[in-house]
Parts: sequence; C-alpha cells; structure tokens
Amino acid sequence: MTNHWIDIKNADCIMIIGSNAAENHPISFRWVNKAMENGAKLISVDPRFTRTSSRADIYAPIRSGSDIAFVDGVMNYIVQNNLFNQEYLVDHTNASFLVNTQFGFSDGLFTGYDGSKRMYKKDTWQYQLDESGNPKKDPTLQDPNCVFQLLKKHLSRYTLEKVSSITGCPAELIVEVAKTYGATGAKDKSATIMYAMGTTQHTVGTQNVRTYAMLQLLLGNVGVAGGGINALRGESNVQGSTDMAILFHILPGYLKTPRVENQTLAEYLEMWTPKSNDPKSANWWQHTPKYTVSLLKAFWGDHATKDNEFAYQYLPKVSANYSHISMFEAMYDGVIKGLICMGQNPAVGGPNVLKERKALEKLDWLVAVDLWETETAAFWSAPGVDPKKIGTEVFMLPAAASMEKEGSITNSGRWSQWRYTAVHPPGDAKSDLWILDQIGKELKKLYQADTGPFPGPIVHLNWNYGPGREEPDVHLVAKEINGYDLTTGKLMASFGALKDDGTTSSGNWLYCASYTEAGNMAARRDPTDAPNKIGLYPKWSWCWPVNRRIIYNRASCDLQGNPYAPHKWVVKWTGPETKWAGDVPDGGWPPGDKYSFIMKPEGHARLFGFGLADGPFPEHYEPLEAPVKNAMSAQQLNPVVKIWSGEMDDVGTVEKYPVIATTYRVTEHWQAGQMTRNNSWLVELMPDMFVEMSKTLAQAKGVKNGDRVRIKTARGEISAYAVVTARFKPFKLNGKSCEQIGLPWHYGYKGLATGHSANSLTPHVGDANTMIPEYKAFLCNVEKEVG
Amino acid sequence: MAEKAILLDMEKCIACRACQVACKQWNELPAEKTTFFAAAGGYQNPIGLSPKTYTLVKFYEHEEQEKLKWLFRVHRCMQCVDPACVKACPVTPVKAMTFDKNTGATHVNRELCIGCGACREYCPFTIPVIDTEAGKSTKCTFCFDRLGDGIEPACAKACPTDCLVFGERDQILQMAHQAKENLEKKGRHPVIYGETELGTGTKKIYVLPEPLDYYPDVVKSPKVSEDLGFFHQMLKPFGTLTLTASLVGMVLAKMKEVKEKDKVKPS
Amino acid sequence: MKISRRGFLKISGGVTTGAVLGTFGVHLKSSQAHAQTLKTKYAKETTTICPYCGVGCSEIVSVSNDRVINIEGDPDHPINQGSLCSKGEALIQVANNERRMTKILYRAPYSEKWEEKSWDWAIPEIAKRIKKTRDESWMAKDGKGRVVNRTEALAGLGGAALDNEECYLWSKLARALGIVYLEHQARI
Repeated sequence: MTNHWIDIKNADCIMIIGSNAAENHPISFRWVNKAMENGAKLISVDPRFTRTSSRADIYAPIRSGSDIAFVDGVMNYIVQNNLFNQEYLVDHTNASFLVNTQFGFSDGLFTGYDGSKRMYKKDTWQYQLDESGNPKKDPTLQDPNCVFQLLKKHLSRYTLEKVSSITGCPAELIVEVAKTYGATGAKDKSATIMYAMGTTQHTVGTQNVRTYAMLQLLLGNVGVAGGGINALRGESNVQGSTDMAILFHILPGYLKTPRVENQTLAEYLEMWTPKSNDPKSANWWQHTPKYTVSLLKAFWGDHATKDNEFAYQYLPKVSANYSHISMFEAMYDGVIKGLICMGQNPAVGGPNVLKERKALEKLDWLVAVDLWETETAAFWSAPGVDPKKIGTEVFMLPAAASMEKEGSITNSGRWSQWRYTAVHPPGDAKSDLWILDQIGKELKKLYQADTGPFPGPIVHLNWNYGPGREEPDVHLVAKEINGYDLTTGKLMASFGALKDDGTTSSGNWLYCASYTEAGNMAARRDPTDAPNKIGLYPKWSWCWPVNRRIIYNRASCDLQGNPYAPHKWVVKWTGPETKWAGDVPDGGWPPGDKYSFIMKPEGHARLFGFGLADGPFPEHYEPLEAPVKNAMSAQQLNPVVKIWSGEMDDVGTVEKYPVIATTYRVTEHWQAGQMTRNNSWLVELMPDMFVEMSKTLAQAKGVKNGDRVRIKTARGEISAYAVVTARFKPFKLNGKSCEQIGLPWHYGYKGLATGHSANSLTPHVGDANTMIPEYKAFLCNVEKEVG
Repeated sequence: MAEKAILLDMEKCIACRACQVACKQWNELPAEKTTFFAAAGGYQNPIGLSPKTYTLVKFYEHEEQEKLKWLFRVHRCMQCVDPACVKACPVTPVKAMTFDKNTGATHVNRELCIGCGACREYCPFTIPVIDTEAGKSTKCTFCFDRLGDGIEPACAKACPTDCLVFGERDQILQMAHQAKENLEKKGRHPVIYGETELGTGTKKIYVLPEPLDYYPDVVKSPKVSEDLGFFHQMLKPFGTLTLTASLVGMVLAKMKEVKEKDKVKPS
Repeated sequence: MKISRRGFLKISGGVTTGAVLGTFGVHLKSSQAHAQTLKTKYAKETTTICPYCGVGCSEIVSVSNDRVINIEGDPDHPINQGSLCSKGEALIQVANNERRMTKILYRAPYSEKWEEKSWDWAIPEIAKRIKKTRDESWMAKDGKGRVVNRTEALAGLGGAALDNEECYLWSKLARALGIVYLEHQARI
C-alpha cells in the first residue's frame, strides 16, 4: 500500500477492483464504511457479485481477464472529457516528457519486439534527452511525442463499445464509473484503489496494476490522503517476507539479486545504481552502494572487507528465472533434490497443483515446517498416491503459532508491529527462529569440520543469536536488521547515515530506524494522531520507510508546498525554519527543490513505463485460455509471456472448455486452508468445496443448488457442491453470451474439512514481469455429477 | 443502569460472521457439524439457532429488474424489554429464565432451568432452544457476564463495520432513526424493527435496509400468546418441587388440545 | 455517544511495553444470585497481531496456567479498534487445538507412515541432507567460466507466515548456502 488501512477513511471515492475486500480483509471495511458515512462512493468491479459488491454504490461486472480494457476505457473517458488533473500531471508525472520519435505501436506490438525471443528491445522506449542528458519536456502537453499525447492516442482505441464488448460490462456502467471516479480529478478530492490477487494473478498482472496507478496519476490521487494504489496483502507478513527478500530476484530492501553479468561488486553497483544528471532529482536509488555494502557487513561481519569486495562473491549469482513456477518445473524435471518449506502449502496453493504434487515426488528430501500436517508434508499419502513408490524422505517439524513466539510482522500498510509470547508452544513445537538458528549452527559446524566446496559463506556467516539449544534472542536479529554504526557499536538512527565503506551494517536498509538506541519502534503504542488529524498515528508501531505513513507525499502539495487538499493535508511546508509539518516527508528538501517521486531517476511518476517487459502502456491481451479472440489486436496472448510446454502443461480451447473459471478466497478460510480447515468454528461456516455459477448455466446443465458437479480443465478435474446464484451472470462478449464460474481454492485432502483443490484446474503460466501464476482466468467445462 | 441495547444496522453488515464466531468464542460453544450450506441465498451455516449457536448470520438474495440485492441479517434473541420468556418460566421462587435488573439482560440460569420449553413456547420470536441432552434452555445471554463488568457484548465488540453497536437504548434508537433517514434519502425503504414491537420493544434494534418482505423469516407482527396467565394457573396445583420438564410439557400439550377441541378462550 | 469497547486493561503507551501486561483490574459487580466470575479476570494478558490477512489487527490474548483462555480484539489499536473478523475471532482454536503438530515426524523413503523423532536427531540429519545436496550440486562457475557460486538443487519455499526476524534469518542463511530457488507466497 502506498497509503494504509486507516487512510481509506479519507477517500471521496473508493474503487475495489481485483479485490473482495469485505470478504478477504473485513477490517478494511471499518474504514470503507467511515468514508461512506462521510459521503464517499464505493465502486465494486468484479466478475461476481460479492459481499463487497453488496455494499457498493456501483457494481460493475467485468469478466475475468479484462481489467486493462476496462480501466483503459475509464481512462479514455477521463482524458476525452478533461477530467484529469493537469497541474499534477505536469508537476509530478512524466506526462510532459518527450519520447523517442521512433517509438510506436501497431497491432498489439510496441516497437522493438523480437518474436524469436518473445521479448522487447527497448531502445525506442526512451525519453528524448537535452544537452545535459536530462529528459526533454513540453509542459503544455501538446507535443505529439510527449507522454500525454502518446497515452491519449493509445487510449483512444478503447472506446466504450469496444470495452463493453471485451469486458461484458454495459457501456452505461463504464461511463458511470468513469464519471464518479473521474470526479476526484478535482484538486482537493481523492480516490483510492483497493486491489489484490484478482489484479495480479494474470498473464498481464503487472500491467493491470499499472493501469490503476496510471488512473490515479491522471487524477492526481497519489501521495494524497485517501488516495494511492493499495495492494491488500493476503498474509499477515507477506509484506515483511517480501521486504526480507524470500524471493529469487531481490535481496533484503529490494536490492537486486546479483546476476551472472555482475562478476564484481563494482560491476554490480554499476548496473544497479541509477544515475541522473538533473540536480532536482533526488534519485534515491543512487544510495544503492551504501545499502549493499551495509547488507554484506550484516551478513558476513568482519569477513566482509574492502579487500574482498565486502564478501560480494559469497552471494549466489543468477542467470535465469527461479520463480515459483520455474521452481516446480525444475523439481518435476529432477533438478531440485531438496526442498525446505516453511509455512507454505504448495500442494494446495500452487498453480497446476497436480503437477506440483507430482514434482514433490521427485525430491530426495523435503523439510516441512508447519503448525499442521499439511497436504504438502503428507503429499506421499494423498488420495490415489502409492507411498511405496515414493522415495522422498520427509521431515515434518512442528512450529510455534503466532502467539507462542516474539517478533515483528509488517502489515499491508507497511506497519511493522511487535508481538509477544503469550504461551509456550505445545509439545515439541518450536519457533521458526529457533529451527533456523539450529540448522544454521549445525551447518556451520559441519562446514568447519569438513570444508566441502566454497565453505566460506557458511563458516564466516555472522550468526550469533544465542547459545546452544536456547531460543535465540529475537531482539538481536531485529537490531541486526536495523543495523549498527560499526565504529561506535551503536544502533543506526536511520538509513540516511549508512555508508559504503564498511563502517556501517544494516540487514535491510528499509528497516533502518526500526530498532534504534531509542528502543524497539515496532512495539510503540502511543495512540496520539499527527497534527493533520488524518489518522496517521505516527507513534503507533513503526512503518517503513523512516515511519513515513503515506509515501510519495510530496506529491500532495503544489511546488510551493501548499497542500492540494487543505482539509486533509498530509504534509505542508511551513517555512525555511520550521520546514515540513505532518507526515515524514519524502525527503526534507524545500518544495520545488526536488521532484516528488524520489525513487525514480527522473523524479516523476511514470505514465510511460519503460521498465516493464511487456510495454510502456497497458494493452489488453487475452488470458492463456480465453473464450474469445482478442478484439484489440492480432496478439492473442501477452507477447512476452513465457510458454511452458512440458508434461502436464496442457492448454485447453474454448471449443472443449467454453466456460471461464476463476478462483478466490472467502472470509471464513485462509489461503491453502491449513490455518482454518483445522478450526472447527470456521469449518462449521464453510465446510465443503463449492462452485458458484449463474442460474442460466445451472439451468443449461440441469444443476440445482446443492447438487454435486464436476469441473474439468485441460489439467484436471474436480468435484464440488453447486451454489446456484444470481450473483454470477453470463457476460455478453462481442454479442456472444459467455458463462463464468468461481471456485474457492482453500480446500485439500488434510484437515478437519477436506475437498478437492481448485488448483488442480489452474495452468502453469505466469505474468510477463513477475511470473505470478494466472489463477484468475482459465477455461473449464461443468457437468452435473451422475450417481 | 440505563437500559442498554444493541443496534443492528444491517446496511453496514458485510456478513463476515465475526459476531457469530465471537459469540461461540466467549460462550465457549462447540462447532456444529455442517454440510454444504444450510439455506439458499448465500453461505448460511448452521441451519438455525441451537444449544451450540446463539448468533447466526442469515443471507438473502433478491433480484428485481436486473438489480441484485444481497442482504444479511444477524439472527438471535431479541432481548425483549418486557420478556415473555421470563413470565412463562414456571420455575419458582427464582425464575430460571432470568431478567437481570442490573444489566437488563435476559438469560438462562442453567442451575435452575428444568428445560421445560415454556420459554420457547411463549417467545414471540420462537428463539430459545432446548438442549435436550442437558435439559436446559439455551439462547443469547446478552453477555450478562461482560455487561456486569462494564464490557460490551462480544458480538458488538467484534463487529468490524459498527453494524452492531452496543449502548444506551435511547441513544441506539436515535442512531437507528438517523440510519433510517440516511437510507431514505437514498431512495431506500428501510424498516426499524425492535423499537415498538410487542408494545414495549426489544433491546436488539434492527435497521433493515429493505422492507420486511425481503426477510421472510422475520416475524411480521410478533405477539405474546394470550394464554400465558392460564398456563400458570394450570401449573399452580403442582407446586414448585415436583415441577419437571415432562410435566410442563404435558400441560402445554393439554392446553393445545383444549384449545383445539373447545376453542375455549383462556381467561 | 461514549460506549467503551474496553473492559480489558489499559495498556500503557510509550516506546516499550513488557510482554506481560498485568492482571485484569476491573471489579466484578455481582449481577445476581449466581453471579459468575468473568473468565478473564485473573488471566495474564499480552497483545498479539493477528496471523491471518495483511490488515494487522491487534488482539489481546488472555492466558491462565500457560493456556489461552480467551482472545479478542485490542480496543486500543488504531486499525481494528477492538473489532475482528470471523477468522480473527477464531484464533483461540489455533492456540488450543488437538490437531496441532507437537512432535517431529519423519517419513522414510517408500514408507507408508510417520515415525516420531526428537530434535536432537532431526537437526543434524537435516543439516547433513542440506550439505550433501549442496556439495553434490555446487556450481562455482557457469558454462562460460563466469563465477556463479550457487546450487540449483536446493530450494526454499515459504515465509509469509513467519515473523520478520525469521524471514531475515532464512533469507540470509539461504544466500549463504548459495540457494537461488528461493520463493514464497508473495509470488503466487
């Protein structure tokens, strides 16, 4: 979230799209309701009428996989009808920047496409530069090569008729959404977008998010109270685990994982430290060397010296994509021999789960750490599996629950919050911290005794959190994450003072300031609000970066530092002596001295996003499995998506599988189910796997509410109870009626409540930028179960 | 203590069922075995109130001219201002169905209850359920144990959207009227339920965003049966010590029989 | 209108609060003849953050004799202000649940059952497996002779249910081992 949960109350309009916040983040509705009590309008965009839609002023149904068309259509209306915020566009976005005259777009492809590699060469996706190497601009937004005009041209193809025929949403509803939402283009109004996995789990997931961000920029809704682009995260610490980089492509604090091209630290820093010649650009990532060296010092302490590139060679270097789908494809192919699985249940939650379960069978060993016997830990005893044929050794380690250990977790709003040990874990269960500490110590011992290849990174690893078999001191870890001034031994006060000469350490620069000499900031419980009274609660817990509650907040003010919305100001300039008031500003420089989007080298938010793999503007492509031909171009599928074509990666056609399917979560269950399907009260509420379908589809298939039905895709087949409901309606796509069904994906074969896993149906295909699986749109067939 | 009440502004409900689980959590009620969903129109489970379930969220799906409404309602004891169940309770000298003057809660004293079912028989909303195994009547306690300590009921505290709000009844009524007015301004036809029902009203004050027809299970004109006095007269000869569930059951059955046969109006 | 959702003791502000927040301090008023003691009256209370979604609601855990007897919303927390959803309200069933794993279980190759083991056995055995797999698959250089220092035979999965400190240690240890197949729920 750029903003945070409480801030939702400050919105004049709320669009919930690709999210079912009322069901999956119920407490968010505490703040949605407060906004509505103050007159805010709620828009729910969803293929299915949900508990969120039940509260909405406008419900706009769109079929799964058509977000870009929908939002591009809304943006087109906003641009055509001058509802955008021109001052904001010029001052805070790259709308006025001139783009290379060779840049172009034709029939679904941007310039530079290489079909043989399924990727773009981006040499035309660049700004025109002036003599000093800075982007050229036209503040009147009239130059035909400026971003705004290029965007306008790109969007103009998304007419109401076209968008309606792609999405299935009636044109008048699109207009109603555009007008209602577009009204927040007024300077002192704001609107927020709440999104989640309905947005990201597509082959165009990243571009889906981009369309929302662009809509917000057009209306001047980023950096302001009641605005922003807000990803509602589904696990309690998925923000923190991302920040800590349990992902192949990043290191803690979003530093890049070294690539094989980065053979030396110097080469690494050269490639990943952006440059700007513009003195008004803060270009925050210019500090990459300080954060990198401080990380290496945290990892390898005294063994990281100037002479050995601060142990840079101890970091593995990547040369491919190692993301979730790739991991399971490699496991299936026998490349991966050992898997350590901590609190994740891919045998239910992974895409194309029949393949992923098969992949687990090929492991030599599996370590599963969990509170419960999960489907993953017990994959060898799944229904239809013969354990006698599976050679995988499995270690199932009992873990402590959240209230049985101490530490911090980071919510969607980036608040790191400390929690305490209330009781001892049951039996032999131990905290993950203890388990990791023990394994770490044991490995150090093994490599000290018998060198093996490249023992340095393990033997020299900074690993001192407590003796023997004791519970490690979690505060020592928290302090290491924050970092130290190694010359004084004092905790760092903030990342502003981190250095690239080896005199500071910080395990994660973004968390530098979270645990200082003043104490554990995440444990703070002072309920005082900030002077602007917009619900920032700056002394309650701590949020990254540097306790800034609304990021990009310099964009909430004009270039003189006056808030656009004085009644809900975030920051304001109070003069050279007293400087900024309100939230922690995005850098303390006086207004106008620096551009507002400090994380971008050009200092401006990007309407033209040349960093993406699949195009600088969002273009509609169909999902891997789609019921229709792409109405926008000859490019059916996102042209840079990786196609997996191994065993068990079959793709279905509309002839055989005419019904759109999507997956989702419900209030009463959580993720892959292990934390709720073992809980009798929640099982009582949602005991069985079900499928939701329209009355028309049910009638056509002779299905009544409560009947058992079978759902089949090219990957698998499952059985479920039918919920026949008016909340699903067929979509009119280019004149043709198309049905959609919905499946909760929480169920599996272990636990108190069992049921078939929806992910038996989903494909192994991922987003072009992130490789997030396309869980949300695929094709199936539905039949009534006989007998 | 001023009279307390819970507002149930169902327009704000998102059917998260926190109230339903909070009720189980605080009252330590076990889960029920369920299959699929208990009713069409949504995700209702279990099928009704029971000795294991004092609070239940119901779902209603309505479609009119392509306009879909998905409505929710929290169902449980209305906590009548003048509770007929207490009057009906034949246990003497201290009633098992207790009206607690301190908190205003009506709840079952399990030590005294004989599980005769008179409370259910005379409840205008047919709420109390007899736990036949334990021989006790069961229903929402208004969290009298929490109220006694100045803590709001578990359901109201849990509610994320302030659909459920606990407070003084006159203020709750003001809030209800405000909510109704706001809905009317939007062209809706809301109903306040619980203010004047049974003459003296209830302590659960609903704002239902749509007319009562949309909620077919809600008792349209709740009434306390007029033969309550006759019932107690019939029981009088048996004294207090010999009173058992089966005896009361026989009396209730007999009264029904008499009413059927002679259509005698009880005094 | 001033209606308290408190009832649970005031947790003081400030930079640090202790783990144990004292005993319940409100006088129980006798409500009637069979007045019952509020079950949380003598409990030890600590705050926790809900382990389900990413909202980050605070809850108060009441503990008596090392057993959780009640969990409900923390009224002081500015986000949830005492409220919770059905999952948050049901958290006590995570603490007290006979389905919880309480033993280290091991499944041998081709076996049809779990065997109970001890930590003293499991930790060295797991470390041995990690070392063996890493050592056998170690890639110092790629085909072009460039340094890579990695293993593609070890993989790590999961972390969204872990605390930040746990995530950090895992992230750090995995890098030290040369693991590149390191992923978790954020990707899917």
